[in-house]
Amino acid sequence: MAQNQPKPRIQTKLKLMIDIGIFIGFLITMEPHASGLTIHEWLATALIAVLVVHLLLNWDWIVQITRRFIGKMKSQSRINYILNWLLFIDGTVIMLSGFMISESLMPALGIQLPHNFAWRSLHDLSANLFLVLLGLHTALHWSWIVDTFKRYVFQPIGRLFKNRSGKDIAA
Amino acid sequence: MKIVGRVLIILAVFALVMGITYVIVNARSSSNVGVPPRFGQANGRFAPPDGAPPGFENGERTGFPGGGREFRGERGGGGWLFGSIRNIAIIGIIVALIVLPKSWIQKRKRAAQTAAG
Repeated sequence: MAQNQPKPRIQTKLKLMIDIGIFIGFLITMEPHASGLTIHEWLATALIAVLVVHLLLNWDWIVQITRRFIGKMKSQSRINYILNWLLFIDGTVIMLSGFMISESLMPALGIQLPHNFAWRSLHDLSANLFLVLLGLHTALHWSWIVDTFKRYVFQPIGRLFKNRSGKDIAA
Repeated sequence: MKIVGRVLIILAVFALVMGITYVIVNARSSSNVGVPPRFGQANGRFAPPDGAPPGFENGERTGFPGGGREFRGERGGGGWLFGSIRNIAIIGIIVALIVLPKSWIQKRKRAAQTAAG
């Protein structure tokens, strides 16, 4: 039993770190004025790899819900599943439209794409929609976020301060 | 091996969604923008439709100054910071709108159960 415990613990920590990374990365990419267009494009492309890891870490849940989707299941899980698909589709649309209007990444790779107004407006629209979907995604996972933060961030910090004050008293 | 297979599945779905989006956008933009795009006028590139913003002569793109989310110019006065705070605020408001009523309903349910039990 004790041997089985560390694996999920490490996975939860990893999930938390990756999710924080995705969130910060998303905030940076949403403000290309701050980062510049080059960082905006390369960072957004790098986020694809991080998102793949995020999906791999939640693979069991995805498979489980996909199998049970038509049958009996909690409405919250169903909503969550649909929302995750919308996030995936919207994220893909952002990526594709971003590639199509790329001014830094694609030219750097030697790829010239035809210009089209539609991609530009689609990129803006899907980015704004992603913000709303991300808010809903965060809301649906709020209890997990709070619990994991308490366990892996706040409690260790609290323990650190307790140990320090204990040592001070002992000294 | 298992992970490679899963990654391939994710990338395949990713490519599928991209392909569908590409086909839809191209089909729509070539059929119903009002003015059909004129090919072959400027070295085989898109020629601007009538009423397109200035700067699109000979199929050139200007970088969409001020029109959308991104442009090459720097936004001064910490405007970018405002943008990030605004994005966090939007997410925060959505979270609050869902989490607070949900927890309130759960509390009421628990209170009702305690009263009944």
